[in-house]
Amino acid sequence: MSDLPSAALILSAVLFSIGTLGVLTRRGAISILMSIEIMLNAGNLLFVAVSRGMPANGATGVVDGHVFAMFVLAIAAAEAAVGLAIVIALFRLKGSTDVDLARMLRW
Amino acid sequence: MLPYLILIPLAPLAGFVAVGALGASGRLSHAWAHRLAVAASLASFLLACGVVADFAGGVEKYADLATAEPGRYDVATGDEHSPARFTVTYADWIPLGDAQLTGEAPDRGTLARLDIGWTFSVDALTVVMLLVVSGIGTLIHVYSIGYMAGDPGYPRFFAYMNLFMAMMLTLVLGGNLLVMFVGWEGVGLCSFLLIGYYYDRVFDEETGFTCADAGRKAFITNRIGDFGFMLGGLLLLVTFGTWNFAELGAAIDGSSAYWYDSLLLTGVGVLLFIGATGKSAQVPLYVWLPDAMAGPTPVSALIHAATMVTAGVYMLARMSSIYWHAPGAMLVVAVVGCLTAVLAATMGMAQYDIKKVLAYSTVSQLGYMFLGAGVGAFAASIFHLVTHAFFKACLFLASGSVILRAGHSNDMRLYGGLKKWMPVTYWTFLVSTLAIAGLPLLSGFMSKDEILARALYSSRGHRLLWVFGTLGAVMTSFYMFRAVQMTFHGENRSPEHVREQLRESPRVMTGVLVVLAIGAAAVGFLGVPEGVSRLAGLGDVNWFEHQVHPVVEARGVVAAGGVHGLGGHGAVATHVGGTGKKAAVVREGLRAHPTLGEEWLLFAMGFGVFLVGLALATWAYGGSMARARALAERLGYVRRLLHRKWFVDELYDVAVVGPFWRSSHFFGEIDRRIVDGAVNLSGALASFSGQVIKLFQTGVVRHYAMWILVGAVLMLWLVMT
Repeated sequence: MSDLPSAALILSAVLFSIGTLGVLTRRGAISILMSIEIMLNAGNLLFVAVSRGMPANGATGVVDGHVFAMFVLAIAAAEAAVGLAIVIALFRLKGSTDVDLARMLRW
Repeated sequence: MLPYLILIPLAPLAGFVAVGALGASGRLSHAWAHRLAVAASLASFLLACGVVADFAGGVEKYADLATAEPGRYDVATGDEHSPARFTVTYADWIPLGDAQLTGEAPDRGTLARLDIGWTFSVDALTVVMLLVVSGIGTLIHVYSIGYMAGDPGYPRFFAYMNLFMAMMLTLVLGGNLLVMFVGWEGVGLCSFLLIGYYYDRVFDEETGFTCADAGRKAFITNRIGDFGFMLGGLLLLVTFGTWNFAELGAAIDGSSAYWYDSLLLTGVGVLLFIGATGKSAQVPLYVWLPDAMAGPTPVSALIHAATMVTAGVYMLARMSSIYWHAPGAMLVVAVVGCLTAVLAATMGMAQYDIKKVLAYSTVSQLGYMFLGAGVGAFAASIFHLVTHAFFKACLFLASGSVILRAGHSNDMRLYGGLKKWMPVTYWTFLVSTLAIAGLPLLSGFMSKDEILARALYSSRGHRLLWVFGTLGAVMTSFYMFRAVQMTFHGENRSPEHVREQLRESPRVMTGVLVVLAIGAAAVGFLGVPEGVSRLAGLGDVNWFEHQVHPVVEARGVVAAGGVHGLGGHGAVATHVGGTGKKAAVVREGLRAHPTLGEEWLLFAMGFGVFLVGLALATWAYGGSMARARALAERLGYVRRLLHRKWFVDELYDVAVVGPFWRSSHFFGEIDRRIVDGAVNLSGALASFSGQVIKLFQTGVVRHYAMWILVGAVLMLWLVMT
């Protein structure tokens, strides 16, 4: 049981890094959105792991982390919806989802 | 009347405002311009007469005013220790509170309450100056009605003349150094305004020197002198804690103990004299006066002959206490005055422009006044100021009359034989010439010979001063009679169109000339030197000296060497050898009392000097002036040296003005290149850094994402550590 938090922490960190690298490296808009989801889920994993590993105080235990993960899931869903709307707008403008084509706001 | 002193300068000040404002608006006729101006000037004269009459009646009647309001009024009745004086302070100006003084007196602390107010005062010296300034000023205003007739700037002229009167009257009425300085600067300003009156005219065709340039030259040279004046005044202030003349006199004369450094007083004396050098055109700051002839002739008469240039002499007389206690400074004054008298006379002998002859003559006569002050003959010096005001103003106004009639030309080579057409001008000019050259019994003789006699016999005089002074007198006589010969005698050399309309000037001008000439002849009898009256078998009849002497006499001065009593002052002689307190107050006097034989010799010298100059001038310039021309040929170099004023202006250009301009240009370049460069550099840096930073805005989203990551890591790291 005591290994659980450290394994989850390492997994969460690794997932977050993968997600970050994906955001920075991928050219496809949807790929970037997927990487963002990975990052969010890494964060979720962290919340739940830490929440589960906290010592129980009374009968019910601490479930703050679980509750927070639910919030994050909801926000991730909303953000994915908005992000996809932006991708569609970009595709209508440029005919492709390559984010490197969206450089109109340069100097 | 005395408490209403301030009305005297206020009248012409109101005239300035009225004529100036109405004239500028263009709604003032020339007739009303001169009516207002002359009325204002006349008002100041009448008020001055009233004040003088009141003062002469004795200031004791205002003694209860002084006890009632001691801060506002101060009345000193005349006795052996101080002259009669009435002082009134109309308003506070600089109430400075406690101040630390540098000089430490045994009977006063080092703190004083510095309180400088709008203080005006009247004593015998002020009376003289008041009457001269307001009287002759009014006469010249009247003359200007004729001289400036038809000039488009007529109201401007009269406005400035009134302003000058106001400022000069403030100067002479000033009860402390600051009020006097207000007037001092004010007359300098008016001199500038009036010299440059013909602002669009060129004064010297060859060099392109305009009248405006002449005005600037006058003001700037004046200012250089004022620097010395201010330094001296400030030194006085920090030592004695007051600028009030009465208090200064009391502090300096002191209680007979020398508690201040006499070196300090010498420094103050020299510094103040530098101011007088600028204002009264002495060496080395006299160069502005001949060029000031660019202004209209009434201006030359009033400002540069009768009044403004005499302000330096007045200031010296006012500060006589300082000079009595600083023999070194007095020597400087005497030597510079003597030098100026001779140098300017040499220059005056070779000028063609009649006004320039008179200008150099003025510089020279001012030198005599300073010579008199420098040997301790302050009253004689002021008397020469008075006589000079009369005859020099008459000479200038008469020359103006000639200039007006001879086609607006100042060149004496184009004159000749004018006495036929302009008799009144001729006779008044001649009488004034006789006065300045020193015909016995005329005013100039009385005052100048008194100065020369004092230069010889005073304990602070010297033989050499007398020698050079007499030399200057010969030259004075020569150049003045030369001017008379070239202008009024001989054959007429004017061009045809000028000769046709030669006639006498209008009565408004000639009337003033006559009044001034009468003054030039008669005023001398007010101050007959004791030497001359002895020759006539009378005692001391020098009324002028008696009136002014209490103001300028030496007090608290220990005599150097034996004291033989002051010549001609029986009243004073009784103080010498008195007992108790009076014995400590020993005054400077004459080194030796001249014998009757010596007096006759001096008289003969004076008359001789006059005759030698007259003879030389008549011999050289009489008839066809052929002998003068021959002389000019033989002495070509000398003549050129004198005509070009010993090349002093050129020397100043090379030594002072040139380097000054070059350093100004140099600093201008520094300003343009370095200072502006620095400012431009900072602008360029800002814009360059902007160019660099904008490169971050690529528009590529992934780059932005990377920078967000970098920033987040940095923030976390900062928070953790």
